Amino acid sequence: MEDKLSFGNKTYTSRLLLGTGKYPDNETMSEAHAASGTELVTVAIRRVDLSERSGGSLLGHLDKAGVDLLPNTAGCYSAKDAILTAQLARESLDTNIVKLEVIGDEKTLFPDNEELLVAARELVQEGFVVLPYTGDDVVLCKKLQDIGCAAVMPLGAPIGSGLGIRNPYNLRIILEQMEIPVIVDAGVGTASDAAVAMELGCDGVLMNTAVACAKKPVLMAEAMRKAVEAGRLAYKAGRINRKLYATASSPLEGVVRMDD
Amino acid sequence: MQGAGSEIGRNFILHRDLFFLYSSMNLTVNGERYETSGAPNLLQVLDSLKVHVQRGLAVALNHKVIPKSSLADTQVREGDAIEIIYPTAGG
Repeated sequence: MEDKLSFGNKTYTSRLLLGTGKYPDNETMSEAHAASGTELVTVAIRRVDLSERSGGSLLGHLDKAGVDLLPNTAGCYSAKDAILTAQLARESLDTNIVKLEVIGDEKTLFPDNEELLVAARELVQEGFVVLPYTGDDVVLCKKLQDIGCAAVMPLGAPIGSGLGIRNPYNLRIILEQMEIPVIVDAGVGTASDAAVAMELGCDGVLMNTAVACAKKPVLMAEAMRKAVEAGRLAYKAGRINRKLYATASSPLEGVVRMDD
Repeated sequence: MQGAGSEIGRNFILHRDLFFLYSSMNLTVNGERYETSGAPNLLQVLDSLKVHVQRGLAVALNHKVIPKSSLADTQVREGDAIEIIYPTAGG
């Protein structure tokens, strides 16, 4: 049976989405992407530096690798800016998919829920495939689903923090109530965090810093691929119930005993 | 009368164009003030900034995205705000 991740009209075999930021260089990034098996990577949209006018090398690398691009609206603090950024991204990359970020606070980079809903509503109406970065709040996620978002992307922990899945119970509640894909976006620090997200039943994991800033990004990318795959398989396999006390795995009968 | 009218119209257009040709124009490009001369279209503004139209580039004029195919047909006016963007590394 095929086990694939779909948004809009795109289908992916890999459930690992990676960023393109913070890598030591583009070559390491491309190697890491290849090792991770990712098919969808995020890019930011920024003003051209008119004093430098460089550019092109990132897109060149990504195009050569054949990965799909997921532009984000990172850095936007209002619905208005996020909407314009998404529209520019669509023109820039000829894609209608967008990772919608509307930040509400500089220190935590937590989303501004009110502005996020406004931007999501407008962009869905304009025909975008909207993947919103959100808090792990089921009420908000349901609203985003009702608006017509293609997925919800609750954080596991603050962006770039590497703290892992801080509230697996909230994620479980979200997972129970969502019909659209749930992708953990942000907070993953190491492979076990990605595995936990997938074991909970998440449809995918999006990360950047955990791979890009690892001592060996390419090796960590491979670890993340295996973690996401293992977590997915474990979820599908169905874990055992937790018990406080032991249950022997070997037969209790026929144990060798020394007669007194 | 009709002929005279269209001549006046032609003269007006001619003088208006000459006026714009020799006057400078203040724009805001990526949040910074930029002065240009004449009455250029968006493609000419990009040329003067040495920005090449290539895959990845996108331009907005007064918060409205202008498709690459329409850059040459879009005139800029005094006080216009232009955003020129490119994809960059991010998460």
